[in-house]
Amino acid sequence: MNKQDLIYLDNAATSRIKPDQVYGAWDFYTRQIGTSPGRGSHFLAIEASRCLYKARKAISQYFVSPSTENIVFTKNATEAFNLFLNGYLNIGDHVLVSPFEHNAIFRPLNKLKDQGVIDYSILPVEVFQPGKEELFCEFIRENTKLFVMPLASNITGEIVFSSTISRYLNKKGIKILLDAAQGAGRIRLDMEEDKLDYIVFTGHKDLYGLPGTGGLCSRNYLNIEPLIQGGTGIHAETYINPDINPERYEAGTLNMPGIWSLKSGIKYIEENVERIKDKEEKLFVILKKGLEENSNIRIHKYNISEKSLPIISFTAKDYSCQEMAYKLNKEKICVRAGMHCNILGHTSLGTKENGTIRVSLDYFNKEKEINKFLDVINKITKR
Amino acid sequence: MYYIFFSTNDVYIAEDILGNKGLSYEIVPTPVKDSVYCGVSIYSDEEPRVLKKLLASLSYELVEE
Repeated sequence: MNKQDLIYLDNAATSRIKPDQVYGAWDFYTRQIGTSPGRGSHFLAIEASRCLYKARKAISQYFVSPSTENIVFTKNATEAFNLFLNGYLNIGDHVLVSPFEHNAIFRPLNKLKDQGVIDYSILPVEVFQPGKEELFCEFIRENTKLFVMPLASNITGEIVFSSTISRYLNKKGIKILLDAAQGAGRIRLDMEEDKLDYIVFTGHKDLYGLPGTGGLCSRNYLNIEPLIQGGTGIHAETYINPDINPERYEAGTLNMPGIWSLKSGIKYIEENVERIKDKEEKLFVILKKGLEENSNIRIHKYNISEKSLPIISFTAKDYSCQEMAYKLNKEKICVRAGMHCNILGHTSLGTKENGTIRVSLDYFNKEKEINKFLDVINKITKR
Repeated sequence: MYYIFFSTNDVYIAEDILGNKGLSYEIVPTPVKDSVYCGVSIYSDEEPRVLKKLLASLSYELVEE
């Protein structure tokens, strides 16, 4: 396939094109370091540990988390959710769940509920409309320990996170877990200011890392049960992971080439934040306008926020989502059709039966790609 | 003087602190007798009182040569 012709509009799944610095960082780490942190005391092991610390510090500063010891690397956001939810929640705890949650968080929660460990309440969409915080009171119980919400919907792109909500619930003594898998590279967060107790992130989407990186950030000292036991590079004499952060949560060999690359991705974002924002907004306006002008297209939204990532979900008259994705694929246009690993979000959106077609843009997309996509859509729908 | 940390992460926090202050140090293998700690430590000839103050937020043991 000639890659020049390919139009990739599935960046919400994985951003396909990374900044050159990210590829360079991967190449550097793999060729020049090539060892694991905390394993050995030779100069390469020391350099590997130094790289890990620098990457941890970059994450800590990016999310304004007070300490590197509470930044835990995992292989993806899903693992970070499993680590946190299984380690943090106890028998009898109650959790408030937003109606937008990805399966990465909803399934571990549901498993805990099925096992009789916890109970949860799924909040209605209306609660997330501006100025409706008081509606939360109806769902808060004496044993409500945690509230989970995404930074943005991975289906519609709408920004869900509101510091008004996190501060409101924080005052009521409820801890906040934010799923920043979608949008962490575009919406700046401040764990201290926004009263975010825990953030889960993934590297491979808009933070411009490579697949195989993610993590958990905690605002305060993280003291939960580790998800896995194994080698931590410290206290080899103990029969279980030592109670020392962050190593106790990172048993086994870390994906250091990925982690080092992620640091470069974050640096690139910090250095180009305005440029990225301007271009993505411009492309998104063209995309949105083009789809809105097509009477055979229906755009699906929760209508909770005017702010959005460059992601849009739609359905087309007379076509199933899968048929449309197939036709677009024939034109070398990559989109994602179906449920987007989010049964809860599609149920709340009223699209559970057939799903939607999701188009997600990135800074590295070009205007001509968006125009070509709109031309093809208009041709397919015979507009 | 060896500054032997429980956490590898703390070794590099310490390196950050000492480096920013322009103090001399080296990251070295942890002395064998204290192998229960992490694999590398900080060795420094600088005045211990100064380092103790700078590293007050970290957990470590001080071991003389």
